[in-house]
Amino acid sequence: MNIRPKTTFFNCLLLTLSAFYGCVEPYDITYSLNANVLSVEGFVSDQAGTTVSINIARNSNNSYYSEPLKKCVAEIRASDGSTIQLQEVADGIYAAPANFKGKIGQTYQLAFKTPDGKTYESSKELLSTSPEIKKIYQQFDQNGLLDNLGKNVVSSTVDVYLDVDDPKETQNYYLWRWKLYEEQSICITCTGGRLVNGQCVKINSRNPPDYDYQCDKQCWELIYNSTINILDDKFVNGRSITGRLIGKIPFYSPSQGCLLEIEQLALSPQAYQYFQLLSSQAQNTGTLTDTPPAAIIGNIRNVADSQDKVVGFFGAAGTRKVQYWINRALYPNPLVKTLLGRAPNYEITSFPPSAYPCVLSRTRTPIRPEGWQ
Amino acid sequence: MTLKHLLLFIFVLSTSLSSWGQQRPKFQAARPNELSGMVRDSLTGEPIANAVVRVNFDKIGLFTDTTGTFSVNLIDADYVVTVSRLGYRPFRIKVKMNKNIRLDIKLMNIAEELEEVIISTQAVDQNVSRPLLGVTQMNIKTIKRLPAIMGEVDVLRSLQMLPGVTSVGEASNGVNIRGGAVDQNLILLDDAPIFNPTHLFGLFSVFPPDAVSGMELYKGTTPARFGGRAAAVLDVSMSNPSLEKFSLQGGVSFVANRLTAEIPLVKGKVGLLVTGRGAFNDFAFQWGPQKLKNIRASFGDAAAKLFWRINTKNTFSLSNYYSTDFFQTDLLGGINDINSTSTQYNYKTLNFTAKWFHAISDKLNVQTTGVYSKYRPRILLPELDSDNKVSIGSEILQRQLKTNFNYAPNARHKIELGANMTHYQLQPGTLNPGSNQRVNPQSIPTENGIELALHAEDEVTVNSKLTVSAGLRYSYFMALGPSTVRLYTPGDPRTELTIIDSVSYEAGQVTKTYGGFEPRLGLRYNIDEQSSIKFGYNLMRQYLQVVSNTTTPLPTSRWKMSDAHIRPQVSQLWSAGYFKNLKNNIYEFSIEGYYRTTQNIMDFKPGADFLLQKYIETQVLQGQSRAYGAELMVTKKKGEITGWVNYTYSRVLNQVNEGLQFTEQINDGKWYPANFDRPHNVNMSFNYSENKYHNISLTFTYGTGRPYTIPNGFVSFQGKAYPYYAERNQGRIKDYHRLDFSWQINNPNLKNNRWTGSWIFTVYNLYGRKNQYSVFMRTQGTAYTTYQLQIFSSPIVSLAYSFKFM
Repeated sequence: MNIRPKTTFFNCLLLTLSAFYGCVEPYDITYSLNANVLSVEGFVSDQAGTTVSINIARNSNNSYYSEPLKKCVAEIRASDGSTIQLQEVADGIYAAPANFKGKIGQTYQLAFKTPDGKTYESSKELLSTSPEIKKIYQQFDQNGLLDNLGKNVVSSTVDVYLDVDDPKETQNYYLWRWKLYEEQSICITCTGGRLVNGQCVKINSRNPPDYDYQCDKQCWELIYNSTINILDDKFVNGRSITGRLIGKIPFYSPSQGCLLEIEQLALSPQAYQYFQLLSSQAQNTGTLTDTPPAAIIGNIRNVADSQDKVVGFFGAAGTRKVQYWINRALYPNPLVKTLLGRAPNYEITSFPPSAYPCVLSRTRTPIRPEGWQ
Repeated sequence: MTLKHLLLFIFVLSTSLSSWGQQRPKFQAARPNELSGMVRDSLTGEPIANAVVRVNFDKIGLFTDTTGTFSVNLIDADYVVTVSRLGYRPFRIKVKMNKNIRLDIKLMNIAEELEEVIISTQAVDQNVSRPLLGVTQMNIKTIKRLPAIMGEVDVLRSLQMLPGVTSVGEASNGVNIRGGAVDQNLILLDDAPIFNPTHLFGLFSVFPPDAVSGMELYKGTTPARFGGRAAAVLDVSMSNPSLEKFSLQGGVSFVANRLTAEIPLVKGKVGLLVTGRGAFNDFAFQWGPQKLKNIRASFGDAAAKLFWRINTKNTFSLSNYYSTDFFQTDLLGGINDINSTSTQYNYKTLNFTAKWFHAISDKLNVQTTGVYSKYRPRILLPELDSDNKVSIGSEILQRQLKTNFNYAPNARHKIELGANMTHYQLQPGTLNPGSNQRVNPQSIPTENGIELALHAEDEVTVNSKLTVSAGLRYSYFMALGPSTVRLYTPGDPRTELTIIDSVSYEAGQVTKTYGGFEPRLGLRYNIDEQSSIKFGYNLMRQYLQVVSNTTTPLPTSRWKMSDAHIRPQVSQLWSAGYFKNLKNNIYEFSIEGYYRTTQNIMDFKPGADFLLQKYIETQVLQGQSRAYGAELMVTKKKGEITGWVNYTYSRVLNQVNEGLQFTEQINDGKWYPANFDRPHNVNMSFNYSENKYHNISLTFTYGTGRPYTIPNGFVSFQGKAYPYYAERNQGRIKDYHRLDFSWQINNPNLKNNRWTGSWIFTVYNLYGRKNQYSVFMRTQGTAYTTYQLQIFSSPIVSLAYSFKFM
């Protein structure tokens, strides 16, 4: 019997033992999505800038979108009896007055009434203080960012870590999030067309090019963290939390630095549990250890109807905010992944080349961020 | 036997389907010789008429006449002659025709043979005559013949070929029996409980194959002597060592090596059985693909049994079992709150059983058993640039003492009386940081409990038609201190916010008791000698259960005793069946139906976290479950081809509705299918053994895909999509099916040496079905992708060698 024992032996063994990870493939399945649910998110903090966003997630067949819920009457109720009225500053975005800051030790509750007359309330959330961030530091990782299949390196990264001393007397729940400012030179890409009088116009050609246009003034791209980074201090209470990875920032440019704004929020146990649930729903691996799916319902309830489901969480969290400048020039020969993901393709037929305004949005700003070097 | 012979053998087998035309003998040839013979019954010696004689597997054969004789002229060549007759085992012979040949052939009557497929061992017609319902016995011979993955003989996988036994998939840490959860099965190895029945997260079962003599599965009527689990009992027994003869057996496969010795220490008096199995081949991973390089996996188990025949009235046995597993990966999720380079799983079982059997008289005997069982799973988290490992461990210690009186005053009564005391000690979690200064040591208070039980059972033969087995068990559970019991606002969910008081209990103080009667009833009514109907009713209580929020419980899953907040599970089962033996007990047919309800099943709240959680009641919900089904089975127990075919229809539905609030309900409080609800199941097993040297087995299994939860929509937060799930388990993964093949060649050199070897060639998943294990989704930004995980998606070929030295 002509079996090559060695090869078969290893193949079989690997097959068996790699069983849990080896055979993950995309699965073609069409969902008939039908949920239309209210989604709410927002935090009161001890810093200015409390906003709450109220949306309806609309799902039909295979697609979904978020529809801002306009014209709600919203307020935040504090435990000292005061009420803070929220104003709709953009579609579905409700903001507290600019000078409003939460107070440590108070509880806060969100209440709002939708245009069709339904009243919703969040649970009362205690605003507790967030310990000071002791240190932020960075490390270079040549092969920091891999592609989706985990096979090829897409970009080198600067990995940002922080240290914080956990207070002994209290149970603490941490949430870290960040906002990255990267200088952006291209403000619009006309896919299969060119810019004419500030509008993309299609080019009649079999293979029309995609033209990129520079910004008319200095512009910054805003990039947010995409994973939920939370920590329960149950194992580390009273100790120093050291080397907590905050973010892996790709080399969008070989040497130009960038500004990272890190926030550390002090969550309530309920908020922690909610974010834990949220992160487990998006980070599945299909193996034995997966948490089964569950509805991401937080602390907001319809006052009159307990069966009406609202996703999202309204929290109160003492917040520490730190700006950290990432110096990329320190590292030689990084692998670069530009913001565009390819070399720019400028339209050179018109002179001077057309430029496009840097429009303020969630992902872009013409306002020079504080701390930009 | 050379490879050529082996291939020829396969070829010969396939010829009954294809043609052999080219080599067909030419009857009209010039100088034929005569082949003649006489066919007789091997026992009676009577001639057999109308037996079919075929030459070289020709479709057309000759019949023997009334005197059992036949004759045919053949030209000079080699021929294969077969003689067959319904009800007899076929006869084959190779003849070389260069002269006239006369054969004297004796055919063996199948009805007189011992059974090949053993679903019942004690009596030929036990299927019909035993009053218990849903009892399945499988002997190790049957188990060893089934194709086993990587050639590792596997009790649990064999079990899944039976009706009513399923699992959630390839990597399943246990089996589901008649709608029961994995932890609702009482799995015993020589009376000691097995808390984790599999190695390597469900790939292999933990029972040492050469030391197991057989198993009994009680999925219907459970005898009153068993208790403590809600669904079924799997009673695996270890062989007693031979008191007369030394023997050695063992084997080598791609996965593991094993060795078993039976040693008579004092001839006729004391014998010792020692068995061990180990799999330490994981070094191969370092030559594997990049992402598997860090995987390490090894396991081992060992058992020993000392048997002492003190005299004709007393025997004593001491058995010991040990099992260990190690698994390292950086691919499974770690513990979020502790930084580590990988996650290692390590779990160990250590069991002891001492048994004293004393025959007081011919009619009365007493059996006293002491059991010590310890299960200790750990998660180890190695630190970067350090030898230190943070370890998170738990431990179950069960000690048990029981005694049983068996009294058979006359042929009409079989009485069993007994008492049983079990002490449970459960250490739910400790965290040991080692030299790590950044992590605090933790320890969750130890749980203690005592379960007391009395039982009585009588099997009464009322008349020749009716037999009744009536049993009653009373069990009483005490949760003991030291502990702190919290009180929560009545009517509100149990959370950190609704605590109103807490009560401290000293060591040994009773914090809560549960108990009650557990009636067991089995009725059998013989319609005639070959057929019967049976009815059964069962009630069982379970005070120790697994709390898990994963598809199948992990080896490191947390066990929980009933306490002031967690109520015991109570399960009732009604079953009825019709049994018939056909054709001299060659065939067996059965149809069984059941309905089961279970109170206080455990489910978890959304986002629940059990790790080192002191007050588990804040993380779980309790509800009810109902299961029902019908099982059809046909078995052919004797002959050249043996095997069975069965079909099961079954459902399992759960409901959890503890309050009006969303967090107190699952699926809005509506009934939903359990993770292991798989309505249609078909299993087929065929075993072909022409003679004692070859054995070919084919098994096929089909099952409806298990349920999983599909999203009802997506919600985006901060530019990232999150799936929104409104209903649990409303989708199903693809149906599961698989064909396995094994070919066993026993003693290939055909000599009767003291050393006999056998080769087992196995192909698992013969046609390479890509069965889904799970379907899940990942989101990236606002996009989402659905993925499927497949385990064993291509045929797995293996070759194993076993030997026996007598």
